[in-house]
Amino acid sequence: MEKTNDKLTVQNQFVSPWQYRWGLMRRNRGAMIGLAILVTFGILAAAAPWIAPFDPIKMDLLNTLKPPTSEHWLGTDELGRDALSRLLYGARISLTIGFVIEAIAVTVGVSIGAISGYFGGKIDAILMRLVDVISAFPFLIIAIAAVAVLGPSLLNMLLVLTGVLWVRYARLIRGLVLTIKTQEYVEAAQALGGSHVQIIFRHIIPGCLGVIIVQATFGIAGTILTASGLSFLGMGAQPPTAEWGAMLSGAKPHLRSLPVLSIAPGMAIMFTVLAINFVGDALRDAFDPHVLKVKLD
Amino acid sequence: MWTYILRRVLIIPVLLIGITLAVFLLVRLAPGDPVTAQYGLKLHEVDPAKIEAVREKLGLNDPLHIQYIRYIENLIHGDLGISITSKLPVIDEIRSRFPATLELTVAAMLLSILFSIPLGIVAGLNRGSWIDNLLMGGSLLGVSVPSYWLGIMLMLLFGLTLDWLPVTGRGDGPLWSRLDHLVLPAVTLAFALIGFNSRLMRSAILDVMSKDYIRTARGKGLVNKLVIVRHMLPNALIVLVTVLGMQFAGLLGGAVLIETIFAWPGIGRLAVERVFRRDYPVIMGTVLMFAFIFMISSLVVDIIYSFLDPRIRYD
Repeated sequence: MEKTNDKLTVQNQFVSPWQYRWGLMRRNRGAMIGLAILVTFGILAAAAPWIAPFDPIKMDLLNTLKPPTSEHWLGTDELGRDALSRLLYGARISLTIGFVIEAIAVTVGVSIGAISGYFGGKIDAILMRLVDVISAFPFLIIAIAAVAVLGPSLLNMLLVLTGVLWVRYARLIRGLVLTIKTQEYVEAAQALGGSHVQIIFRHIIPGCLGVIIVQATFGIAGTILTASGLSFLGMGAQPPTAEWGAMLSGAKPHLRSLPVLSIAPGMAIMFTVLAINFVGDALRDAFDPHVLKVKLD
Repeated sequence: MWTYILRRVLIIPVLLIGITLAVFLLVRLAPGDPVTAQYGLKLHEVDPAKIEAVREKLGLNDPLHIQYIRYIENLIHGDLGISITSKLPVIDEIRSRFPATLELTVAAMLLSILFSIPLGIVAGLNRGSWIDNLLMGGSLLGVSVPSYWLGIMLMLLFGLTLDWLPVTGRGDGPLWSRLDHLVLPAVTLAFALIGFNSRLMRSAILDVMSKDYIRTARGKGLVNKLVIVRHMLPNALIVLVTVLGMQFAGLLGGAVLIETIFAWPGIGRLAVERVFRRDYPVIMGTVLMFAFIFMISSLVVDIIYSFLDPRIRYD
């Protein structure tokens, strides 16, 4: 087996680093199970309007808190709404929230971190003090306080969480950029007269991509947990929206009489987060620079 | 090293100004000022001239920077304002709730240390074996379970079904007589930490294992147990110590959900209760206090770290 910097030949066949990493991922049973769960949940969420047996917000006050039946597989909640339908629709909110918040946080954080690390000097000092101040607050507490000020709603929670979460990426990427910008290929690009924007986006950020992908994957898992937690406290999704955390808080008073209402949404959150974490774990191995030395046969 | 510590300490004033300014502005951004919040729905019945007079008296008509300086002056004197709902000084409310949060956090920390160190060591030493896979799968589960759901499930099992443990409140009397109240919240809070820290401990062990001094220790014929206890453990623990410091501070604030579920009378629950009543002085008081603790802990952690690991001083 022959190995160059980031190209690898196996059995005289050219394998790009991405193909190689995918090969490693495929070998990881946990990651594949995780991916299968995520794809399934994604399909169920997307298809919710067609497969959900009932309208998730339609109340039926004659049939409240019914145990599971052949008609209502997971029973009905305190307002007679079908729990299974709410669970399916809830997947849409939880998955979307996790991905959207993390996507915005990554974009903002990576840009600011890259600018800060690349230019250094005053810009760096100012941006990093801002990062210091935001990360000086315990995460959940500042989120709760900001929601208190803005008023509880799904959109406000999204704003608040992205407003706090980007700093993690900014700090991480800044550190990476500091090392990458002294590399010869960056110096070469500068010598060739590349503009700052070109150098940052073409040469520096691609170098951080592995770290970003891995961190963002774990980030999505964490954000889904946090967002559902805030909704559980009543600070995220508002009634009558079907959301897993909010469903749990509605079900808690009926824990003794109808535990299934509490068990189902929690299981949904847990399996989603677990699946993402399994994928993240495998991604970390696949993007580990030492891993390219491992023989692929 | 001293220049490192000095530099680290010098950031503190900048952070303090940033933190207080952020909290101050957040309160000012909030819809309604303390006066309108006082009257609530009865606002329309009150004479506008009277409201204006109260505003003037409270200094709410002064320019923002004057208000901010006054706010800082009050803070220095330990005055966090008066709660809108309970009419008590915020500092007293926080002081009366703090022991409960501290108790819960310390208990969860102890549990996490007690379990994650041995689990991490066992997994690390048996890398790739079924026991490693089992433990690491379990730890991934630990960090993936929503803590509030786990709390509810434990409540269902040990409280409602088996009836072994109380499910709400903190109990009365000295600590030893109400340990039963502490079990479920502390275990719930510790669960994710155990998952996270045992993974950390495992990777620290793996890191240390490949070091030359371990090879030397083995080469000179030391028994395996001694190599682990004398040479691996102290070095692997450095990583954990630094993380534990930050976790402690984070946990104080992160206990919010657990406190809410178990009706544990701590600060997090205080903040959540008051959010819906728009009791800004209390909310901001708790935020400020947590930020302060967070800042001090990270300073202490960095200083300890610079003693434990001399390499960092030259960074």
